[in-house]
Amino acid sequence: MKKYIYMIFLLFNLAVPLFAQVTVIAHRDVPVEKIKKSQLLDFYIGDIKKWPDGTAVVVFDLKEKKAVKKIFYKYLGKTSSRMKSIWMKNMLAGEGAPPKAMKTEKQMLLEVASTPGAIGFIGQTFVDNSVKVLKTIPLKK
Amino acid sequence: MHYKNLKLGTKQTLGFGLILFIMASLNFFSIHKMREIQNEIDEVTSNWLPRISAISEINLHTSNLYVHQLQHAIAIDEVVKREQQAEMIALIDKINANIDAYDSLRAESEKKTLYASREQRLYLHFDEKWEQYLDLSFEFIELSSANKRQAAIELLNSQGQRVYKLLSNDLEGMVHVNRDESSKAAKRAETAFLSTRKVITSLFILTIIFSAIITMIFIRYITVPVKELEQAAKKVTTGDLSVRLAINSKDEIGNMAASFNLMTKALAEARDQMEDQASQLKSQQLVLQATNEELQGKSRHLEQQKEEIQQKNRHLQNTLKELHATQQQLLMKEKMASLGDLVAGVAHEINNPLGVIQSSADVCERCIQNIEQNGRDGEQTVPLETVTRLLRRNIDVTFAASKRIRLIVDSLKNFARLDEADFQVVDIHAGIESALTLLTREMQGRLTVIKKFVAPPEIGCYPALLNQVFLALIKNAIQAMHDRGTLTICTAQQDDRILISFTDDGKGISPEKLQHIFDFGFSAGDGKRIKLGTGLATAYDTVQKHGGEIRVSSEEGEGTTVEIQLPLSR
Repeated sequence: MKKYIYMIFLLFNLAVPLFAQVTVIAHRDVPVEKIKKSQLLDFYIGDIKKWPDGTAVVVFDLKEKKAVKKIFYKYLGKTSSRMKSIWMKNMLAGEGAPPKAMKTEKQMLLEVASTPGAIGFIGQTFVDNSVKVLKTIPLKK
Repeated sequence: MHYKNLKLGTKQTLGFGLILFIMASLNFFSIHKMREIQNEIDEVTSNWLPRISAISEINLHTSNLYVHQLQHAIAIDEVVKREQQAEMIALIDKINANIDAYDSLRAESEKKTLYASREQRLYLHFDEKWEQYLDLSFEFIELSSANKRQAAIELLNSQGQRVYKLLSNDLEGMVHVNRDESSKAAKRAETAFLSTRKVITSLFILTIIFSAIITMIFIRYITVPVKELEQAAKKVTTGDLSVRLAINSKDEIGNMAASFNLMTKALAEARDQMEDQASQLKSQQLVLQATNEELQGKSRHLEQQKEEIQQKNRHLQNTLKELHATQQQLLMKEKMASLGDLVAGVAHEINNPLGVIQSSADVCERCIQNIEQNGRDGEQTVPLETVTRLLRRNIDVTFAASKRIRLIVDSLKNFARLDEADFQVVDIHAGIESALTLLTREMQGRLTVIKKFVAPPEIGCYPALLNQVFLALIKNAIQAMHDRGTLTICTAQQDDRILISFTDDGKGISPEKLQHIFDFGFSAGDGKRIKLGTGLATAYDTVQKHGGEIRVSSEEGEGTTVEIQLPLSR
C-alpha cells in the first residue's frame, strides 16, 4: 500500500515541473481578487450561484482524468465522483445543470476568459493575461 | 552447586519460583494470545463486516437508482417524475453516506495495512465506473426531463446497464474480497485460539508435573529428613544415644542433622562422664564413710583424751592451788626468816648498848663500893673526884646506850608501823632512815651510804608495805656489795611523781638474769647462801599497788640501780 503512496508522490514530483502548480482562474471581470477554499467549494457545489456584484457564477470542470483535476478536487476535499453526485442531486432537485466539462486546459482557459462570471482551474503553465488568477493551490506533500 | 546443597529457603524459593514463573508465563502468553484473537475478532466485527455491509448497501442503492431512473424514464406524469427524482436524491445521499462509511473504514484498515490491494483496485475501478455512471445519468436525466423517453431508455439500457454491471461486479468483487479476508481473519483467530489452547494445556500439564517434582524434591529433601530427625529424637528420648543421622544436604536440615549428631554425641559423652563421675563419687563416698568411721573413732579417742586432759587440768588446778599455798607458806617462811634476820640484827644492836649499860652499871657498883669503903675505912685509896668523874662518865655512857636502844626500838616501831596499816601520808625519808637503822649491823661499817634526799618527803602510801620494799632493796644492795662499796639513795620529784633510786657499785646482774628479776623465787645470789628471792617480786606487787613503776638497770661488774616511781598524791 505504502508503495503506491510513494509512487503517487513520485508522480506528483514529476508532474510538478510539467504542470507546475494548479491555479484557480476566473473571468477578468469578477469582482474579487482572491478566493477562499470554502467559497470555492460553495461555488463548485452550487451553494452560491452569484458573485458579490450579482454576476452569475459559471463553474467549469475538466473532462479528462488529469492530475490537475485530481489535485483541485482533492484540495476541495472531494472526489470527482462525489462532486458529480452532488451536481446530480442539484440537477434532480432542479437547481440547474452540472458544470460543463472542458476537454483540455486550453479550452478551459478560453472558456473562462470568454464567459463572464466564469471560474475554473488549470495548470499554472497555461495561465495567461486573459484570465484572473484567484488562487494558487499549494502543493501538499 | 547441587540442589541439595542449597539452603532450605533457597530451595523453596527456587521451587515455587519455577512454578510461579511457569504460571506467569502461561498467563502472559494466554493474555497475549487472547489479545491477538481479540484483535482479529475486532478487525472482523469493526471493519470487515461494516465494510461488507457498506458495500452491499452501495450495491443495493445503485441498483435501486437504476430502477428509479428507469421508472423516471417511463413516467409520463411530471409529479411521478419529481417523486422519482426525490427518491434518486435520497438514494444518492444514502450511497454517499455508505461511501463515506466505507472510506473511513478503508482508511482505518489502511493504517493497519490490512487493506487488500485487490480490494483497492476494485474500489478505484468502482469509483471510475460510478463517475461514468453519473456522467451517463446527467445525459439520461436531461433526455428524460426533456421527455425523450426512447433515447433515455435506450441510453439506460445500453450504456447505463453496461456501466452499472461493471460497477456492480466491482462491488460484488469487493464483498468477496472482504468475505475472504474476514473468513481468513476468523481462521487466523481460530488457529491462534487452538494453538493457544494447546500451549496453555501443555504448560498447565508442565506446571502440574513441575509441582509434583518439586513436591517430591521437598519430600525427599525436607519431609523425609525431618521425619528421620523426629524418629531419631524419639530414640534419643528413650535413651538410645547411639543414633546418628545421615547428612545428605548442606541446607538447614543438613545442618540440623549435623547438630543433632553432635548433640547426641555430646549427650553420650556427657552421660558416660556422668556415669564415671557417679562411680567415682560412689567410691569417694565409700572412702568418706571409712574416713568418717575413722574420724568417729578418733573423736571418741579425743573425747577420752579430753577427759584425761580435763582430769589432768583438774589435777593441775589442784597442784596450782597447792603451789599457791606452798608459795604463800614460802612467802610466810621467807618473811619469818627476814623477820628472824631483822630480829637477830635488832637484838644485836640492842645487845651492844645493853652490854655497855651492864658494864657501866658494874663500874658504877664498884665506884659506889669504893665510896662506901672510903667511908668505913676512911682510907682514901682513890680520890673521890676520880670516882665521881668515873661515875659521871659511866652515867653518860649509860644514857648514850639507852638512847641508842630507844632509837632502835623507835626505828623498829616506825618500820613495822604496826599501828598504822592503812593508807596515809607519811615521810618516806623517815621510812628509808628506819630501814637503814635496822640494817646497821648488816653494813657493819664497811659500806658508805650517800643520801641525796631532794623530794618533798611526804606522800600518800601504805607505809608498812613501802618500808618493806625499802628494806628489801637496801638488803639486796648490801648483799650485792661483799665487803666494800657505796650505796647511793636519791629521792627527787619529777612532775607529779617521786623518783627513788637505790644505786650500788656491786657485782651487777647479767642480762639473762635481769629478764627474770621480778619473778617469784628469783635470787641473784651466788648460791653460797640459800635464799628464796621474794624481795623484788613483793616490791613489784607493792609498787604496782601504789600505781607506780619499778625498773632495774644493771651492768655486770658495774653495779645495779633500782628506780621506783610513785605518784605524788593519790
